[in-house]
Amino acid sequence: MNREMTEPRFRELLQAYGADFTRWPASLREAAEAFAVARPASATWVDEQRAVDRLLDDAPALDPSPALLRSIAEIPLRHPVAENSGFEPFARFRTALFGFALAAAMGVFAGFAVPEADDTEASWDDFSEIALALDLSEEIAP
Amino acid sequence: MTHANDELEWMRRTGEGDAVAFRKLTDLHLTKIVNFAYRLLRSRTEAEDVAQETFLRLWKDASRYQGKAKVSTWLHRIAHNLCIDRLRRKGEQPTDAADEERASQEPGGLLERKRVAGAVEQALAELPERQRAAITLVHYQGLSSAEACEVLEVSVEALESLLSRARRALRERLAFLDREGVAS
Repeated sequence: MNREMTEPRFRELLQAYGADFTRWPASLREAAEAFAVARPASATWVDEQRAVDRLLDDAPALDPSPALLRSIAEIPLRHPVAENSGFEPFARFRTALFGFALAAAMGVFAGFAVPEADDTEASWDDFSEIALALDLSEEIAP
Repeated sequence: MTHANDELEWMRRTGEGDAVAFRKLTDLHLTKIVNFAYRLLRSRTEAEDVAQETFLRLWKDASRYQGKAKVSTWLHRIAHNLCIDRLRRKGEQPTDAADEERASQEPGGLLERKRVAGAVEQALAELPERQRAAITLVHYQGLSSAEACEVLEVSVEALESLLSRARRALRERLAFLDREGVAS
């Protein structure tokens, strides 16, 4: 069973993958375990690498922050479905059409909203709405 | 434990814009990707930026995933490339001064453990980037040697060489802990 596992190769693999044989390439695990059983002297080399494994295990691990979790959860909302599906061949055309319609509506609206002396405040409100619509269109556009 | 077929199905559905499937993949892989990036970059902020970018690419490119590599390997490869870009742009390894400050203010009970953890983290950070990536993928991320080779785009022999040199360097740099009886 351990005919392919020589001492130099065993030590090489031990040095690379450590003392936990589950981290070794699957095809070599059985041979490695058999070698370790057949060669009691290998216990010293294994122990040396186990100490390195333990030290590595002491390095701290992180949990994702709430801010990151929120950002990741928002990805589908920020990046529209049509871009991803590949099943909506007219998605770009629809987006362009939407942009064109919005621009045309704004032109018509701006034509009516040329400020007159006595309704400046109302016009500013109207333009704010247009500006909001523009911002939204940028969010929606790819 | 999920079945690989579940992940393939979630990838397919994510490619069609299914946010629920995307969420399942996120639940499964986000913590690992954050930690992988953190071990390479040594900065929570940078690691979380990389994780966010990785999952944004997952969302956008899932429809192009062909199932040749495991989802985990695919994600690690994206994250690895993003980390390398950042390290090369900066020309040095970023650290979080705030994290180090917090560690130094821990109360007595945790101090020794924090000291050991800090020493290990420092020793890992001092490794050359390729060695650090190799040991992170195999030891911490639990990738098989074949998967780690795929992420790093190296042969098995090259991976084993990177791992051996990394472990030898860590053992030498952390020998003082052994002498104190911490590592035994």
